[in-house]
Amino acid sequence: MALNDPVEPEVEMERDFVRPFLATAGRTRSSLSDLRIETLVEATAKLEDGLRFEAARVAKLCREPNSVAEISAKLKIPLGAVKVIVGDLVGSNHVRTHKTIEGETPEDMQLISRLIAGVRKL
Amino acid sequence: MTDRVVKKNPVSAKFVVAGGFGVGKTTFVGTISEIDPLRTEAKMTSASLGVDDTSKVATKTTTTVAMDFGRITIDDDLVLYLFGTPGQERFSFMWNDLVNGALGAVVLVDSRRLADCFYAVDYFESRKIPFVVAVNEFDGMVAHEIDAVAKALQVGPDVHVISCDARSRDSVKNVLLDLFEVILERMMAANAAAVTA
Repeated sequence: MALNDPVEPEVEMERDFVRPFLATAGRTRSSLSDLRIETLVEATAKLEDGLRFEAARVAKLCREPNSVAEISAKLKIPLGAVKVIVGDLVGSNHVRTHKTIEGETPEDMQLISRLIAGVRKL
Repeated sequence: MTDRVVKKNPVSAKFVVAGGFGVGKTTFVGTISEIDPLRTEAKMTSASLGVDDTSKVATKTTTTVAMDFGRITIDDDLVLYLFGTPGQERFSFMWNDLVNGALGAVVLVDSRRLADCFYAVDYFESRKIPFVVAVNEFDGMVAHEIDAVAKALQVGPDVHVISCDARSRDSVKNVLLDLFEVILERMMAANAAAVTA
């Protein structure tokens, strides 16, 4: 039966990817409280020189807009750590974050209409 | 040189695909996603699981909870993300972070294991998050069961219960379009109410 999820979420003991607290200098909270997993992050024109380690990799990846979840998946950094790093990078003006659709404003209704048209065309 | 052209201001929207273990969430996401589903992981210590007993510090373990997701780029400045919830109820503590800001949800159902979706239905209903129930066709056995499922779930008449085949692009498209229409209708109703008030 091919319908079962091929890769189902699983619990596993800590593996060998980045220790989150090393990447974030021990912090567990992001300075940006409204950062969501779907928030798109995009590099500004600011030079990446001076950035190191994960921060440099995140800034580089975000030359193209990537969501917080994509950053986490592509760079294999846990979500919580990505949020802290992105918060720092926003603070230092290396990246900026884009809006998410919350479904609350009239403009959002137009965006939903565009989603409908877009998915219909797929 | 570093002068990248900073183009537009893309916005993103999030939808959630929920349902029990093995019901086909990742298949559903993968069928419509432009990329192979990606997996993101969040680290949780047992303390985040509700255990708060300092005598257990020595045995505190870190677990990793994984979520699979896909992406659909509608155009240069509109991106849609579909997130599968962690399949087991014991990961439900992850849901707030996952669902926060979601425009709507698909609850994927295997009619042979209906109870697996109760948690998701309750969750979205109690938080007033728009959702549709999609009964995944296993061996094509479903059509006549839609009404029975709707009845058993005791959802209101405004909740759409539809059948789907998570392997079929058209079918997944239809489920999403159905959900989008539900969301749009709800927004229009809320808007109208705000105008009259």
